[in-house]
Amino acid sequence: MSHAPSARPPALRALQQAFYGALASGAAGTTVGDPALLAVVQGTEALDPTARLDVYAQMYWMRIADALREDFPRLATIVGEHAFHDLVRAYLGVAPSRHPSLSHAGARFGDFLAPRSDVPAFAADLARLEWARARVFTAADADVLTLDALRTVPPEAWPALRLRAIPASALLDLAWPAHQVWASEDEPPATDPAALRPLRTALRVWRDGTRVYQTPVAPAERAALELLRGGATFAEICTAVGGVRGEAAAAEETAALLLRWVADRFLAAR
Amino acid sequence: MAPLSFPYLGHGLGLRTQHYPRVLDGTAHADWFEVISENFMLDGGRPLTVLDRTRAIAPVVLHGVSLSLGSTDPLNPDYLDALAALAARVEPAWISDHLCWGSVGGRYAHDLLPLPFTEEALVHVSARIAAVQDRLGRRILVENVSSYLTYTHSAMPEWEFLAAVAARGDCGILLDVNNVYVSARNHGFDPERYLDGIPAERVGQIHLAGHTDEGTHLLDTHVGPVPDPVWDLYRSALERYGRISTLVEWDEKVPDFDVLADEAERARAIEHEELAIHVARA
Repeated sequence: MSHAPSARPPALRALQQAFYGALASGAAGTTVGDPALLAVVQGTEALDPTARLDVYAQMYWMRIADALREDFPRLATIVGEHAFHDLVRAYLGVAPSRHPSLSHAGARFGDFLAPRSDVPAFAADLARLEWARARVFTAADADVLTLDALRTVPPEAWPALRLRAIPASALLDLAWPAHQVWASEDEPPATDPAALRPLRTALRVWRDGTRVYQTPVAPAERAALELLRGGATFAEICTAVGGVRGEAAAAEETAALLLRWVADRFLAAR
Repeated sequence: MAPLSFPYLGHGLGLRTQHYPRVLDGTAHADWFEVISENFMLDGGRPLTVLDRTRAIAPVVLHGVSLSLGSTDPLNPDYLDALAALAARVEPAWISDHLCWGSVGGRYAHDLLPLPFTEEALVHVSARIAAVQDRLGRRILVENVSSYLTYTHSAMPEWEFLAAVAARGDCGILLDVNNVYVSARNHGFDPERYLDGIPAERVGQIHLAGHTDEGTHLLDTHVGPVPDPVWDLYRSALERYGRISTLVEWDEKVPDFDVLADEAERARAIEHEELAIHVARA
């Protein structure tokens, strides 16, 4: 078990830093061990010290690749397994996981993809959509606002009525209509990825029970949602909608939005 | 810290997402369930609904993978807060994590990386276990990991290190019998000697699992049924430690719930056999 090394072995901190360095190099393609680390890794007949470190390096990136494939299933399908693995290797090089939960590992994947020319141009926005869906899936639960509850609000209280989106919701501003190429087991994509064209798109994402939904929103709803997420009053939302659609249509338009949000179970109970 | 005492819960099952529907429709039955702590450090959604339902069915224990007890980074206070909050929610029979490290410089490998078995590591890990137990207000169980390398500057065998950590940190031991077998094969030690070196009074739980033979080494994949050599080693463990709450882990190609439950029943049958032999000998 114990062998007298020729040089002083690294302290625990230095050993761990060197070990992590070997994992990162292995994830990038070739496991390279720091000489001070290799000097204290016991080789076997079957595996020399570098090969033993490589066992860990392969598990390191494969485990994170598996997690990202679960968070970005549609993107992984579109780019293909091999290319997705290469992307994960490159991603780990610039964005190593900094959270104890593996479910946070993909937080920067969309931004990482944005400048890359070796993926479809919509890839970053599709990643942002899939990430938003994953976060919404496990966001806090909340009681939702019902039509019956709204009916109890006296007319004079409506202007100051504060509305809130449920915590399990997100608003995305995308350069591509990524929802058109998104798909799930029971929802085929609306558009062939090869045919997708850029189009500035705002998406509302939310969860009802255990199911996550998404829908594109028009500029008036986009403006209202931004206010809603900040806890705006009904009067402020009317004003914002009026700024987009004109004052005459504001009240009717805002009422229609409100009914849609209530029907979608998108608003939190007061 | 209270005197050493770990309840005997019988034979548990590891809760996996594939079995959530069986929990939700009320057809998942086990003596107790083990859940991966990090999978439930969430604000809401289906996983926590399933967890609450599971807790209503049977006792639950929390098994973590990211406490990183051996890391030279400071303990992560946010992680400990989340673990404490989760413990308050499910009131687990116990909390466990691994004798390893998994992060350095704020970067997480999401793996169970091996420590050198040195005095430096022993002092370091023991102090962190004590700090974690202070924060959680309870004794934790620490699990031996499978390993694929050893260090030439280790000063003691793994079982001595584990026993010493448990004594100095005053924690319990989650003895993973498959990990003992895998590491014994990878490093050429006698797994029975390992079992001999573990203080019986600190063993609060046993893990069983399958592994994969990669030719050059065994890999702890938690795939497939428990192999015969691991069952044999489980018999040896029962002979030494008596009955211990036992759980079969199966994480790759996860089978139907009933297949997993059958594996737990096999563990129960072996436990009954071994304890009957033990009583007859006595």
